Amino acid sequence: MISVKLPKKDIMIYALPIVGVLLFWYILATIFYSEVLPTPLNVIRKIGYLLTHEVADKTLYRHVGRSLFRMVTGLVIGISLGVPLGIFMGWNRYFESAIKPLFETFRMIPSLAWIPLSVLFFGTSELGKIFIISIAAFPPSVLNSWRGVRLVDPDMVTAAKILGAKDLTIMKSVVLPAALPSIFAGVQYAVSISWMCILAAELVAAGEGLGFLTFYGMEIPDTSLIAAGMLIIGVVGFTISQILRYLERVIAPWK
Amino acid sequence: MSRKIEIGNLSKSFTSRSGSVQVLKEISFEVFEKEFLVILGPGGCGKTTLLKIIVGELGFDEGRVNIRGGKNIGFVFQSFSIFPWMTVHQNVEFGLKMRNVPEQERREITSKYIDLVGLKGFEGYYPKQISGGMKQRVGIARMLAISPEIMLMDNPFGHLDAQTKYHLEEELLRIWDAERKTVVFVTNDIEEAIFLADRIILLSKLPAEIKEQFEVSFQRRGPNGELLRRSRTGDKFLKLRKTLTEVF
Repeated sequence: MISVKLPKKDIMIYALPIVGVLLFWYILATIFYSEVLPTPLNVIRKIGYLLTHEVADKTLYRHVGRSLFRMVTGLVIGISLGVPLGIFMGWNRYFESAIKPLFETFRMIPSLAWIPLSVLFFGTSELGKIFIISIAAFPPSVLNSWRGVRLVDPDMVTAAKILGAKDLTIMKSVVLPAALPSIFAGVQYAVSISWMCILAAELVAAGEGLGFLTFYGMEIPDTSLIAAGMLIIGVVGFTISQILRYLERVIAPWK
Repeated sequence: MSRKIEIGNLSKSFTSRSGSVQVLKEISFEVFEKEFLVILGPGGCGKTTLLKIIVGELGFDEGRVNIRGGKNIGFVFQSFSIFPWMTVHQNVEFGLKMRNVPEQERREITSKYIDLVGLKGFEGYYPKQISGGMKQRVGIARMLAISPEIMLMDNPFGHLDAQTKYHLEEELLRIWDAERKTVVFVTNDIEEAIFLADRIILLSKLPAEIKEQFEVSFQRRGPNGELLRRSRTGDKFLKLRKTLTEVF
């Protein structure tokens, strides 16, 4: 068992819930001992196995790398379309009213619902998976950029105007920096959403990736593999979000 | 004394879904060169609207607004409105950059005004790292850097605590005297108005009309033209305060 006597109080704060959940899971798995629910120990052993053995002819690193590649590519596409659109919606009232109903409808369609179309469009190619991720990353990018620009303090814009700034300069040196924290929050949100969609993206005809690995566990079937896949998705996602939090401090040090 | 700003029969209404509200009603006054004019009125009486019309940010329905001489106008906001992503130095420098002032000159002017408002040593700080009073000093320095002939100040000390406010009022008079500017200062604080003004224009509630004007000439200049500091507890001060309180 893990020792409960830890030197620091804050370590306890993080460790206790984790230990609690593991314990609860362990008890549950012992009571319903079956193929259905693996114990935490099984899953950890499975992760250890994955680190040293290939599954479906690929190493774990290859699976993680492939999923990350899909996410990043889709994300870049979704963000580079979404952020400019959002900024323009916040900047121009007419454009905003024209686009708003369309966008509000679009963002209510879950990215899972795009899978059938994606299969018809792109077949089982890599593009289809990237497409799904782009669709997922798009709405939060638009939404936060739009609100960020819309909520820039009008007095700040007036101040810049009185000081002699022209429209383009106001956009570049006042509106964008003022909206940047909100835009970045949108990007952060887009990152987590698109990572969470990795499973959906790899649902159809994938041969590698963390989503594939998890579904593969269902096909074999191997519940430890399913749980290990889920756990790795969670841990990788957590790591990405921590890196982004750090980046936020670098990008907007004045906050 | 020459006139710097002339405003005649100025009226302005705002129209919204719930109807039209008249904000300014036939306002007429002038501001003389190097004068410190205070516009005093209750909250939400259209004082800010008036300033934004003078600076050209808002249009108006009727009347006329004439600015004589250079149209270089500076503005100080109640909410400071300094740029949070820029350091103190970058904030003060902003207007000069917009005017394409060469770098060397820009640096000199910027540090001159940072000095003048007493912020030397804080050039590299971001707004969130300094107090409210210091933020408004940045706002004032940022305005002064573009050497405006007219300074419009929209209740600039309204968000500050009493002590900081007193202190900045004195500093402002010192700066005004040193820089020889025309000032239009808006406030809802009677004591502040008396402490600062050469002249006070009292506005009514909406729609704002000019109720009365007061020349405030006591304890302003010494025998050699030097600026005096009005005593807030002197007889004349208290007497005017009483009068203004009664008609406010």
